[in-house]
Amino acid sequence: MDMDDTSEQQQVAFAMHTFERIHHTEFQRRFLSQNTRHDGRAFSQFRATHVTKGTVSTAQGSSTVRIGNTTVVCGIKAEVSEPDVKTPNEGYLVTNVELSPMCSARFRPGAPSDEAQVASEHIHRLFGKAVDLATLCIESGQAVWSLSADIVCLKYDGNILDTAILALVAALEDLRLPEAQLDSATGVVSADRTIARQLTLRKRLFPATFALVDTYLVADADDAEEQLATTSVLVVLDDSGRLANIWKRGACPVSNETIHQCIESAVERAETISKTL
Amino acid sequence: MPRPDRRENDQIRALHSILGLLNRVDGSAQFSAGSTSVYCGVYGPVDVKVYDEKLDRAVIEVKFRPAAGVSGTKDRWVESAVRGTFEREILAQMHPRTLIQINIQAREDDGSADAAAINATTMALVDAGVPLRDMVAAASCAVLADGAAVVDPTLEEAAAAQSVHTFAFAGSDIGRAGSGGASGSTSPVYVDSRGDFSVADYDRCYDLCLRSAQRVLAFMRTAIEGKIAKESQISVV
Amino acid sequence: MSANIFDRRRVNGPPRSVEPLYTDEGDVKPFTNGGRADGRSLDQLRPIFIKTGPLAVQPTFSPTAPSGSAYYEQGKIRISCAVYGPRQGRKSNPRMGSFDCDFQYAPFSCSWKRRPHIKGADEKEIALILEQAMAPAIRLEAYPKACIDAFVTVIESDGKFATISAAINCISAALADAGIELYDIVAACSMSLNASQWVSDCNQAEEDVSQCSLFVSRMPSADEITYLLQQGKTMPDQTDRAVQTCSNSCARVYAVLSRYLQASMEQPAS
Repeated sequence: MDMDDTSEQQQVAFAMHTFERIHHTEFQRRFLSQNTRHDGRAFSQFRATHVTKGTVSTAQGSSTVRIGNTTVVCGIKAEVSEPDVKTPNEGYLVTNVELSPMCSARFRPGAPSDEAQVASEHIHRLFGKAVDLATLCIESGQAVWSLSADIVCLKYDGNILDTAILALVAALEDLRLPEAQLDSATGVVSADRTIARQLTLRKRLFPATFALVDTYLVADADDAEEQLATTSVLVVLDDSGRLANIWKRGACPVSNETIHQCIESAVERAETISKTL
Repeated sequence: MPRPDRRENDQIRALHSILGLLNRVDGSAQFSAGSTSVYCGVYGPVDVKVYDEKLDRAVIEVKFRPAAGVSGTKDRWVESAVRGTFEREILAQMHPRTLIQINIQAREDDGSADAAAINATTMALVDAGVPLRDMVAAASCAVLADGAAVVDPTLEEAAAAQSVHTFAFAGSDIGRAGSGGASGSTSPVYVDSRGDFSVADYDRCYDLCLRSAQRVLAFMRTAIEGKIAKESQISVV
Repeated sequence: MSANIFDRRRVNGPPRSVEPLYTDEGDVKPFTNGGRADGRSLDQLRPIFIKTGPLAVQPTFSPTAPSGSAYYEQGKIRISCAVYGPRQGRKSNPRMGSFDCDFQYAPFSCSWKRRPHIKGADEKEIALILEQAMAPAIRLEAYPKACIDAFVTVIESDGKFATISAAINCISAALADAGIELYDIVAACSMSLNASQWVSDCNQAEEDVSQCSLFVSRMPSADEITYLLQQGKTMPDQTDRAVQTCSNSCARVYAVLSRYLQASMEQPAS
């Protein structure tokens, strides 16, 4: 497919992929200025989302989520530990996002990049209130469940936050905690997996990320669009329609009106995903 | 219901700042709101590693260290918030192939620490003479369990709150809103609202923070003008 | 080891945590009366599923996407691999390219303890094994000064030797998907010795009760073994027999791999 660069009456024709590599910004603008996106979506359109629960049998709770090409697997392992002295009745939910070179050449091998650390921290804080940590108590002050939720990205094509949040919600719903008892004489906690209970989530979270590409606000930016977007808005709703998070970060200011529009789009998105989850 | 420190709901804590307190860096500031206190030191523009350098603009690096303990993912989060806020406000195109390094050290955290970090950074950047598009003023607000919205929450208030909101605005935006513009036309540079809240709560906090940011900006201006006046022995009107 | 290393680049949990003592285990024995718990015969392999290329259609060319990728399942084993290259490498050998492999277990992939994020010695050892098993099959002289990187993540593991074999098969598929020139596809298979009988493709429960485990990785068309690893004691003739049987199993894995790769080529390119 050829695209003519007609800006200065030059008769140079580029193959589409070449033009995209050489002048990525202009390539995206050609679509955005025509009110569409390079993959044919509308500005407010999210990619196809698929959620599957229970995909990893070695984890106590797991899920695989795909938004477009971005694929993540979330696995939750339950271990036993002593509670914090300040909160003797509360267990732990520790969330980490893994962005390795396997999913994209953007990430270097070795220690987690700043992006991965920020994503881990944000999601960890977001879910702090989603699970009632008191339900993770085995024996007050002595033994509690410690849930390690690890979100591993298999393929990266933008919008890791939405995918990771959905994966964690699905994995938490899939989680089956065995009945556990503490033997105070030996200090050993024993558990029976045949009697497993589901964890009740205080609230399910439905995320929606919007990115400012050039001057256009688009929903669910993929990798190509994310490279040009310095600014993004994340809106997270819970199942009662209340907000759990609005996070606008990045260089360009976004008007308050636009943020309200994002909230409205996020409400629609929440309705759609709640049927998939 | 009265607040523990007897402040009004829309009253921010006493602000205090010192400019140019560190003598090795290009610019520095300490910003305090009540007990929350943050230092910021700015180097810039300085040499940058060839691997990191950008040909058309300065590289902006932010480092945040907590008051106690080893820095971890929490601090990376604050760094990304500050970097995102200032990446556009700093006129980086004026200094290509250099580095502007912002070092923030938390001294004490009694709530609204993110806002204090952003405010301290603004003042340190001005002190360093780094060209800025605009000054950035930040403010926090919390919605308590009884539905009351209080600005500049302390750590205790924030921990018990239903939701906590932090906003940062550019100076020109604050000025426009102050002179009668609708808050819908303002564009926040940074927004972080977390907890369990409704759109109405968000709007209430937005307005409260906008007004608080006006006061913070006025304070920063006074502090900077005072320093310049002292240094040059002339009065700035 | 119940102490959790404090990793300042990750969100950390409590400093010590352990698996509880599960009281529901121990009743199901993996081998009973000469039969296997999952109903397979002694030389029957677990069903294999492979998906190469992106999981959905890529609408545009992306410079950061891997050159080739594969998702491999064998029974409960799930492995994902991405191959980058040939691309500029750190080592610049003017005569031939280099092949590097990075291997890691996902923290939730093993049925026993949760794995820490920081790579352990066994992950580094397996990465070396994979490099040595795959390198002979790649035409590295065709890529001077370049490097080919393979990144393998185990999403779910079921038998250490079976997982290593599966990883080799997965990398083979990913290399083929990337269009890297190969002398042959490398196919691997594992076996374990239980009560003087060699059993093919053992899962974790079966490997745990076996005296010896081994795996063979082989280029069937060239009839060459690229890697052979044994753990445990046997008599020399037992190992001989095992290698023979395992090589036949490799041929069967090879047939499956070829079929999947052919099918993916025949799919219309989008």
